Amino acid sequence: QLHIYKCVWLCVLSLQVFDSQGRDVTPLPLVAVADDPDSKTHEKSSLEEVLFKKGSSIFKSSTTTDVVSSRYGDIQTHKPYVLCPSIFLEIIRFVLLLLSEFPRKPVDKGFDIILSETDTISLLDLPPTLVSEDAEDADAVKQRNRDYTEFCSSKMGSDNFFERSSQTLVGEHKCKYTQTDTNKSVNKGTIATTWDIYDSFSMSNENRETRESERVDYLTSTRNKQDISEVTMSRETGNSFSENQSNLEKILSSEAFMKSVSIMERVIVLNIFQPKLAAFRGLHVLKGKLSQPVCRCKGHYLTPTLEPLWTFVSPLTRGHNITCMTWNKKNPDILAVGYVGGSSGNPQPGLICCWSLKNLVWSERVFSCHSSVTCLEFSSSNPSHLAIGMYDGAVAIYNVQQRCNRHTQPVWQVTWTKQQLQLSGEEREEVLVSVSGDGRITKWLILHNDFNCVGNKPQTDYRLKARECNLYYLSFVLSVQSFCYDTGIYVIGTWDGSMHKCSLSNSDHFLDTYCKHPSPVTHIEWSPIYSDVFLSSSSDGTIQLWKVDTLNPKMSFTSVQSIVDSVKWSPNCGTVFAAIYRHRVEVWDLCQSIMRPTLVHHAEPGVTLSSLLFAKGSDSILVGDSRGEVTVYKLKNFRVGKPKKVNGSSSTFDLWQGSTKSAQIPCFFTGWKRV
Amino acid sequence: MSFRRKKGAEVEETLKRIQSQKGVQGIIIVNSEGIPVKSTLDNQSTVQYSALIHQLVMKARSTLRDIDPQNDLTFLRVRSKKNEIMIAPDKDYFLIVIQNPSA
Repeated sequence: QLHIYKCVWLCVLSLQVFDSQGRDVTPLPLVAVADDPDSKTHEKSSLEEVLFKKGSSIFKSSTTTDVVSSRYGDIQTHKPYVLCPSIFLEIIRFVLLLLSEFPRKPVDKGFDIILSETDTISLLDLPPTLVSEDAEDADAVKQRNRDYTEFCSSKMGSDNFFERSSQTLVGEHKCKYTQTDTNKSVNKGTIATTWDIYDSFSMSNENRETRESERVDYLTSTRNKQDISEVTMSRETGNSFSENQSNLEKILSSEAFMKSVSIMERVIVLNIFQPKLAAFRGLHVLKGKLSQPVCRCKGHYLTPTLEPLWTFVSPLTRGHNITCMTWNKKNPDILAVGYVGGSSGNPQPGLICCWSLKNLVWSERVFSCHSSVTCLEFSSSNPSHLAIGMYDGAVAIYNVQQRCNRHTQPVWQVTWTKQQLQLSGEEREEVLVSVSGDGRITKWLILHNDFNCVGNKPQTDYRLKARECNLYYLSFVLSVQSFCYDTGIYVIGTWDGSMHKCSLSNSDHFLDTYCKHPSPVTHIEWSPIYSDVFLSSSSDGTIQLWKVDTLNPKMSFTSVQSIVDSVKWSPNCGTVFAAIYRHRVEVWDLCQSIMRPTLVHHAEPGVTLSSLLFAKGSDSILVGDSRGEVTVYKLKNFRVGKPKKVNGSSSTFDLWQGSTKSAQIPCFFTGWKRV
Repeated sequence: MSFRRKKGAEVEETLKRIQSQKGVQGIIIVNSEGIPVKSTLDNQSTVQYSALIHQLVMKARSTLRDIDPQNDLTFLRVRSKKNEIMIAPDKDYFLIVIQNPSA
């Protein structure tokens, strides 16, 4: 056995162990051995000395392991290592484990160390002076106690003992003074406000939750605390400028800051444009130094004018022709404008901008599309969906809530040329109808309404199913008009000047045809107030007023020989409509005159006006032009008297039959005041 | 990463636009300790504005939250004879803009 021990011990001395990083983790011997020539003179050290003495100490034993020591004495190169049996056995066990698991040469693998308990080591043993009655040697103790009391009592009168007094020497007192620092105290007061209490309470709740989650790995948390304290120390001594820089970057990149900045921009812009916006809304303009001086008109009849309020323009849109504008159905402050990219004729990437009345200098959203935009409309069932038709025949739907400008549905490449589309409600479901230049009218059913944008790739769950409606290829169809919502009838204008009345339910043939215009019809608009009256405009410079069931126009309006690009009814007043010619805007008020336009506004030289829109609830019009600007004009001095919405009924139009040119307009419209 | 850079560029652009609006006299961004980190005014005004406005915002916030601790201040506008100071406070920063809209 001893021989084995010797061999093992030799192996231990030459073995080297490396861990996974290649560091030398050879277990060091339990006892440090020093070279001491007086080693022989040292007494045997106890086990306690070995374990608790730090530093170099010689350990020798002379009792049990004499034979071992004699053996070890043979080794001349090493000092004798003599160990108590228990420690020795532990080390041996450890070494055997090492050897059994690994080859002689060092490996770059980790290994398991198994630690086991030693025997109990008692450090202090103070036996009590009390012994229980039930102890084994209780009788002996009792006997001893009795002997002692007898001895004490016998001491008094016996000759073996005599009394003697002695004096204890009392040492001299010495005064020693010492001084301590006073305890510094700082007064601190706070007012416990309501929110302070609320905050502390909610924070302690949070802390409790976080503390529970951290309890599992308290080792890591203590390490973190140490790191944090080191970091704070370095920060105090570090450079304050660099800290400010990183602080600034952190602030600038936070989401909340972006929001604050955009709100701030709106507030500033609203401050600047307050008079204009107040005029737009028909509110009283703030007087005083902060407002522009407003010329006070004294209430006599003045010629109606268009007063320009502001312009929606941004560097992105400059130079792009505007083709279409539309208001949002749910939030009437949001305007979507479609732009043509580059010069018309070449299909270039177009642009859509969403402007908000809260920020007049910068558009809220900008979307680019691959082709020029010809028409767009917001959906009323999903107010954030914007459907656009493009010059190359594609139809797309954008979700304007998201800032990422991506198509939310696949865009079809079809062989159509020009597109115009309209969203309409029918039987509570919304359908999208698009009309193209090659005569096809397509009704799209909206199947799914899923607009989730997963990461950067939108899910294309939104599908439109095409259902062919009307297959007349007689001529190019140029415009389709908004429907009577309850009857599902719509009117299309064609290239050759005739207009057809069709029905959504009947897709085979036209119901009626209205022929009056010799040249292409450019726009048809239903009156928003009278449900069976519509206006049509065409390239021959005339505007015709029609009633649905009569095939001849009721009235016709001509002012100048120029292509009428568009005509729109005013949503506020039943007798006002505006028409846009290439270089002028005309506003007609039928209660003032049916022969002449009430108001004519010329465009600036070199600028072509291309698009027109009324603003609901405010008597302003928006005019888009070829420079990429949308100018908002207020109709000033236009109506003396409150505009009143009249309930349209067909009986009021029976009076029209005979008098198309009469100037007695007021009697045509019942219930309508004229000053 | 590019998305973050785009956001940062958007913020910078918006700040530039605000700076170029009519009547804007200065923009100050103050961190949560009351130290101005970015400013378009001179140093003395910046320090003065940030210290005073910090106190004002603290007082305003304390007032609001005393009435209802779940409420918090989102925007503060102080209109004076000569100009208007607009403050957007948050727990990490204050954004202060001084504007004189009639100038």
